[in-house]
Amino acid sequence: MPDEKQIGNIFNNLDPALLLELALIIVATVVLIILFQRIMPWIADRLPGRKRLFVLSATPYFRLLIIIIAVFMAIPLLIEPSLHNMVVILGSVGLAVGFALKDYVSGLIAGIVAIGEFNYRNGDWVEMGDVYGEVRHIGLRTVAIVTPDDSRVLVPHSFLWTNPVINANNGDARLQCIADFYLHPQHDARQVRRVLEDVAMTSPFLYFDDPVTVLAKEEPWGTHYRLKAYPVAAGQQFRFITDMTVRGKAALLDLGAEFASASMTASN
Amino acid sequence: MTTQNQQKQDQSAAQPLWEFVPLQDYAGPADQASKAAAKVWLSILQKPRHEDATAGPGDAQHDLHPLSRERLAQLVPPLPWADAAAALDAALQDWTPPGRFEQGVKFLIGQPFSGHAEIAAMLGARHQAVEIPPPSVEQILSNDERWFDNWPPPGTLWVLPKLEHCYLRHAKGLDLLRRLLSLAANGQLGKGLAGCDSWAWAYVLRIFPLPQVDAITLQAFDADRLQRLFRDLTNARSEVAVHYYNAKTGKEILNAAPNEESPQKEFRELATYCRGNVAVAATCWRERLRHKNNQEQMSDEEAAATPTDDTRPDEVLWVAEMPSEPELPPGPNDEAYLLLLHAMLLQGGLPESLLDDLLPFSAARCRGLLGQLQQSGMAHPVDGRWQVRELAYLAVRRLLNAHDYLTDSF
Repeated sequence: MPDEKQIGNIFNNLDPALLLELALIIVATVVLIILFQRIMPWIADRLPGRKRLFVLSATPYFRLLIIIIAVFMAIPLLIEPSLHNMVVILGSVGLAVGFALKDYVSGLIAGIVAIGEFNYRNGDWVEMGDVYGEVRHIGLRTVAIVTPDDSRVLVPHSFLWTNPVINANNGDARLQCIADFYLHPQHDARQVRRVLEDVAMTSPFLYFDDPVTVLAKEEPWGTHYRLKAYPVAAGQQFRFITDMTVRGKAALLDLGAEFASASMTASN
Repeated sequence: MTTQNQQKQDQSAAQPLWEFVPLQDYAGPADQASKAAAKVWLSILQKPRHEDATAGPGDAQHDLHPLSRERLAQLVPPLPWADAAAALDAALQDWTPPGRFEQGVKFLIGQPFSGHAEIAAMLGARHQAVEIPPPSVEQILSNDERWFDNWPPPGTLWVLPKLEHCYLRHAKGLDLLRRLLSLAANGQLGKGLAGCDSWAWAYVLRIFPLPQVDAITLQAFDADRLQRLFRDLTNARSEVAVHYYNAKTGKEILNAAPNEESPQKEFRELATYCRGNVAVAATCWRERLRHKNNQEQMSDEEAAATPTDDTRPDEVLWVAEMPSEPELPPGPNDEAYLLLLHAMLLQGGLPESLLDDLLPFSAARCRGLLGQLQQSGMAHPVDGRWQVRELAYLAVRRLLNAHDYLTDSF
């Protein structure tokens, strides 16, 4: 382990000019990052569908790039970047991190991995544990998710080391939505399927270039129908599901179908 | 006249004003779009120099005033759908006569406002065809097949001018349309012509993909056609020889004499902007016409520059810049406005009585939103149906396309 004198020797003399240069790098980095984080969502909100997601997802990459450039500019100002000096400084930093900032650095590294592996991007709809919502901001340590209830939840990137992350649209502008219907077993299933298809085909939110599917599964208490379709934009998913549910129920009632209920389930 | 000009004139003379082509042969003025974009870019780069160089007599646009409604009606009257019907009749001359072995249903697809219903009805009238009225809302929702009693016995030509009014985007609003298309595909409806709006057609094909479809459409109005159309319209009704000048550059762009040159830039830009939609182009042209308060006579120089055999007195009119497009009302309701506008286009108008059946909003909220759209100049009620305004159509189409809503193929 290097002693104090050794570590002290590898740093350059911090004269006022050097400090000023460092300060300028830090300030410029912060300003650039803030600028990008303001401008990119502003631009994205003025773009439709896929373009919006592309611009949103590019934001963390720009930020990472700015930080890397800043680090590469700052290191030669602080130390002479020789192999010996790097080994000494990395060893010391590694020790400090190992004891004091393990979790924090784990989050930072997970952030870099999340950005690099495209695990989630801005605009994606993800489920992390009990939290489901739209990714609005990917920070260095955390990902900010806005839930359908408009709550902002910060989840550390390190979550993905040990937990599954469910990404509903994975960079696409659209995601599949499912409306569930539970019917009494005695009904004309073909008519129900036809009606449910029309319910989706007549929804004002429907995206026509992706398929509409009706799945049926027989259960002890009745039949479970799943109407699957894609809305025009991922952000419409709850309104789309609601629309299909409301109009689907009305259409099924018109058809004379009877809905399964909890009491029916219990009696069966 | 140069040989090149002679060739252009020959080509232009060979191209009929109203031409009907198979749907797949429709060719919009898209090839001109890239050129137009390049020109826009160049004009941005050259703007300061250009403005100085082209300062002309029409530069003082603030001195210009819109024309009266009566004068506009003379200069740009409603489009002559009868001429279009005659052209369609000529295009279908082997098909329409009774007793011909060719059976089946033809579809006449038209862009919004482009008169497909009027043209189909006029064609029907020329051949004493039976005109089928669209089903009522109640008939559509109850799948009332008694509507098919309107059809004549086989061997008699029929026309259904508005296929877009034969369905509703409602879970119970598609069965009658499916039945109609199924009977048509099987040849059980005899020989007939169904007119359909291009947006409704895009939706209909998603609902009932027809394996083989005999669809025709009005060919796009390119720059040459627009120039000829506006000249013909003006000459048909005006008692004076009208000379149109660009209000910004002061350059003459259209006069009463048959043109010997290729279409002016104004018409190329108009055709590209309007995507070949003649009705929207006519509306834009109408909106751009201006006159000066003290109506001026042509100067001797101007008259010498445009010699004609016309003995009528001359009149100078100015063509201002393109009218500004209406925008969505400000506020957080963009998605709701788009849903409303989309519903209007897909169904050939949104029936006032079915607002909350066709949209995921209450009728009261729909009315509020529609009021906002009307105020912003994007939509208006016509015969009990809310429709997109002609001047707003292109902006609405762009918005819907940008947001990935289903659009027509024109």
